[in-house]
Amino acid sequence: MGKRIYAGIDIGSLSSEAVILGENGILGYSVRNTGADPQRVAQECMEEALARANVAKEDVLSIVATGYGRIRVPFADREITEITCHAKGAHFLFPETRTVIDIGGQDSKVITLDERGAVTDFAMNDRCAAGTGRFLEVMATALETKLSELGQRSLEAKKGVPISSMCTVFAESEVISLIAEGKRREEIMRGLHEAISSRVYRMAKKLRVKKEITFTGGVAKNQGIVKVLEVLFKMPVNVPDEPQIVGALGAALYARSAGPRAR
Amino acid sequence: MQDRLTFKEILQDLAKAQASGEGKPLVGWTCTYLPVEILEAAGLQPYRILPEPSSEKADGYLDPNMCPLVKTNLGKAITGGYSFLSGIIILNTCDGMRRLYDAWRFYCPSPFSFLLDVPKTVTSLSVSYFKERLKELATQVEKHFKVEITTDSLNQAIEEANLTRSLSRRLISLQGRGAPPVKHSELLDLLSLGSRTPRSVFNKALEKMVRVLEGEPAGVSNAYRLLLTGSSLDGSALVRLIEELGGEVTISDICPGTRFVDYVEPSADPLFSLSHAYLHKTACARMFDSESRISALKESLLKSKAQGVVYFSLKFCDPFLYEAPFLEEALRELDIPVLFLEGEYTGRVGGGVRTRVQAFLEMLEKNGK
Amino acid sequence: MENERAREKLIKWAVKSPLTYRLLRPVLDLLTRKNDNEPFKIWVRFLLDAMNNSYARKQPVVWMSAFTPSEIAYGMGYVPFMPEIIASVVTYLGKSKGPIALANAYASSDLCSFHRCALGLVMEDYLPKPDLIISSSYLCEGANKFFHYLASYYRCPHLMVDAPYRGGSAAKKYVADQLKELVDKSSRLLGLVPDMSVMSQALELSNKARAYIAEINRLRRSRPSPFPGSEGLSYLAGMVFYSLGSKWGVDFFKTLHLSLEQKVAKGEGYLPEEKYRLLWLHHIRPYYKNEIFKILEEKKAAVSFEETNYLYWPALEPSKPYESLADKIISNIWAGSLERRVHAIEEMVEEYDIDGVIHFSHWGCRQSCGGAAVVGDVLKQKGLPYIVLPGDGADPDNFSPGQTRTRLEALIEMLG
Repeated sequence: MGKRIYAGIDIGSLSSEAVILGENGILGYSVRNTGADPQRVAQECMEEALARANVAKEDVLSIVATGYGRIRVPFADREITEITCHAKGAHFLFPETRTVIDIGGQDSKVITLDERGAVTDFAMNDRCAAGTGRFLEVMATALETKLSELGQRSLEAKKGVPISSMCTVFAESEVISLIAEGKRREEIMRGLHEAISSRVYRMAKKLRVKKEITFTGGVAKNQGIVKVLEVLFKMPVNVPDEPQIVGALGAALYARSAGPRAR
Repeated sequence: MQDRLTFKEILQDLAKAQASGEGKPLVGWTCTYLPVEILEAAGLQPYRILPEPSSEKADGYLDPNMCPLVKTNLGKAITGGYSFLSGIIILNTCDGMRRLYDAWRFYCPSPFSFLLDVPKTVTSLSVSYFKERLKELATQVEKHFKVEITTDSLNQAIEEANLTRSLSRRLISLQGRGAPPVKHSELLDLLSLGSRTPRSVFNKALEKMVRVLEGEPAGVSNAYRLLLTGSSLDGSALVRLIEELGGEVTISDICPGTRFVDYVEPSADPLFSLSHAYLHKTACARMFDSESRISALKESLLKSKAQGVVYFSLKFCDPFLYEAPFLEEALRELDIPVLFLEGEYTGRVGGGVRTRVQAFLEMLEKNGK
Repeated sequence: MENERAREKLIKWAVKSPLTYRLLRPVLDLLTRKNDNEPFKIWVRFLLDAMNNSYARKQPVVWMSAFTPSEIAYGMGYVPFMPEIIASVVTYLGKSKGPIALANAYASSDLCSFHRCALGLVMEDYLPKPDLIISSSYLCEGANKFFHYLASYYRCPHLMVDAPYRGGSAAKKYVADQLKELVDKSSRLLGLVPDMSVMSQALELSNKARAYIAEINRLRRSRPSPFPGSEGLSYLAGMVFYSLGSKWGVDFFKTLHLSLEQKVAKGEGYLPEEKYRLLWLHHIRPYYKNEIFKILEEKKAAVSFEETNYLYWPALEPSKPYESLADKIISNIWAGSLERRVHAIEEMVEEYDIDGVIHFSHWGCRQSCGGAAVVGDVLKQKGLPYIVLPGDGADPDNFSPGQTRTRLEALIEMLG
């Protein structure tokens, strides 16, 4: 039994991820839509990641679950919030990270951390989905485009159309009427990205953001938002190759640092 | 007719004067219950704090369920937007303003900050208590700015402010005159500007306008006549929208704008006169007694022959939100329709508001009012 | 349909009948005979007695806002009725949704849900009609306007005590004069002659309770925490609002003191194991079913104290009711400037050896929540983990269980 393998699983509101971690780094991972059955998706995600890592389930020494569905992962040994996990994961990928911006399906968060990757403070949007992945999904539908294309297309616009409401319902009707007014869709997209970014920026400013910033969560795949954030913060923003798996990675790291579970 | 000035030019002139402040220290203030005469008697320039709606909102520094005006004020302050002020006077108008005072001092202290306590009732007890608080304000101002406030200087400031007030009321009554006729949106913009402009400059502009307009016949308007009331507005966008859609705000009881004191009696005890007059002015919903505000509104409704009421409240504005059902009941008795609108201090009116205002005007048309 | 209406009518009749509360008392006594939480039982009996008196109407029923000194009502021989407290009890019984939904048709859903719940109960005619309403201008704008609206609804007089922003001699005189006016006016309105010896007695009773509260607060510094914060935020706070100036108050606080003395002597904590000590800020918590305190218990985190039970007022002088109640009003740490509240919180952090702080943010509240960021920054500068916990005290639909868990667990993870 020379293998020292750990796993982390992140059950988010829109997507779920699993990461298999060996001694030298990530062995495999998987990303899936959460859907209506978080328990099943946890199982499937785990199996897929294990298969990709070519690791047998029995070889995993311990599993940490995170994300809003973390309490519904029956096979996890421990659960830790995504706040602590994103900080840990981002710190692992970019050790100089002192601020994490995490925009997921339902929440946006700003987390500050110390040089060890431990959380010092955090802020979180409340109640509504304004400025989150779900918000962008609704807007993409209103703009008749794919979620994955929003970012790239918005970069084609020189300026953004100001969006006055960040409430998902109101913003959707605003977008529709802006289209009807003949505004360029790229400019509306840019306007949306500016609105989301300035919301996160305001949340972050209060926490006294320090260098470096790492952007995690599904929305970090949106190049348009990354660009606007860099302008607002006046510094480059680290974006991991797979920003969605940072939470699961952090969870796996916690599993590894806690060592094998008691049998 | 070389006297004839366009409204735009007058506003530009005032804006220029506002920037100079006649070289006096500018002191920011937040609420119409402040007797600005005390500052003027001290040789200071009062400057009403009205942040541009585009200013940064201080999310994170205040809970999301706080008044957006308070958030915008704090946001502008934190980003250095008020660094030109030599001091701030915030009133304990409401929970939001009290917390603004706390956060302002904590995050970006001003060289001079004072919270003026304003009673919620209008009684002989509260008038004498408020006078004590005004005395405290005067003493603090004297000490900090190393100036002297005398009975004479107070009475002189009162006289000059009385001139502004009577000219402003006269000007408001001349709405609809001139070519093009003066609109309520323009009057609100003018009064906002006036609240941060040197008194002498503002009085001159008002005198000129009143003189010119009084010489012109009243225009005929077919627009629907509305009364506008409520909390603080985020600029005149809503009134402009009403005008664009064929309505006319003929009278308003709103901030910033028309909710000012009418007259202060100069006297041997000017602080008492100020206390008395300011507590007896048209009430804001922050006062205990909703009935006096409502009866004043009823009177204005009858006088202005308004056909409908637009009640505007900023989101999370407790005084105006709690008072809304009161007012609706009172208006129901008079058979006056009311349109309730909420705003977020964005300075813009969204598509939803446009639809509702338009539908409201259509309703008035259908009612044959 | 008709059955349902008949059932509703019957329930309303029962709720409004004083007999119900007299009958309930022996029934509840029997049901709870094995429950050894004596203070809680006194609270229940106190409430039943208050409801009985409120519906029986043998004395004038005076509605009061929380934080208006209840000593005034007991000293005048009135039956105080506190709709905000009743709304929290109704929420605790799982019945707040209906009244809130009803009130939402009239009042913005951004307003305080306790007020909306009470308004719904008023509109459904469940509550005992007031002969008079007495409120105070603090702590919040909302209460003032809410009670004024109720006065117009019931067409009854409304008297308010306007509290100054800061103390000093002019401020004290202003409040004392108002209190005297309030006593004169209310007795004229209700046709009673005030008996100042009864007033002094009420102040004495309040002082006795106050002395026990001081001792209770001292005992709560013990490790492990002897009394659960969740109960400090419910019936303990309720008794501070509602019972001071009555014999019930003395009885309750005396009994609670005794029970805590015994627990502390035995080294008994309210949690099986206590690893962290937390301080709860804001006067309320969600009263409907929720998992906040269960999650904290799982993490071995005790809510050791709540700011609402901070003893802020000096002992009263029974011979000078107006002046000393004015002192009580003026010394309220939540009215006026934030500095006073921050200093008190810093003191609580020290005295209760606090590891982390939760500031509950009740959706409709501006006065407390408006200061949450400043309070947080002061505490964070001292290295104390701090979270704002958004939620709603009375409206279960305005509460996110998932987010709440994440925030609470993240706080505990920050504690290390």
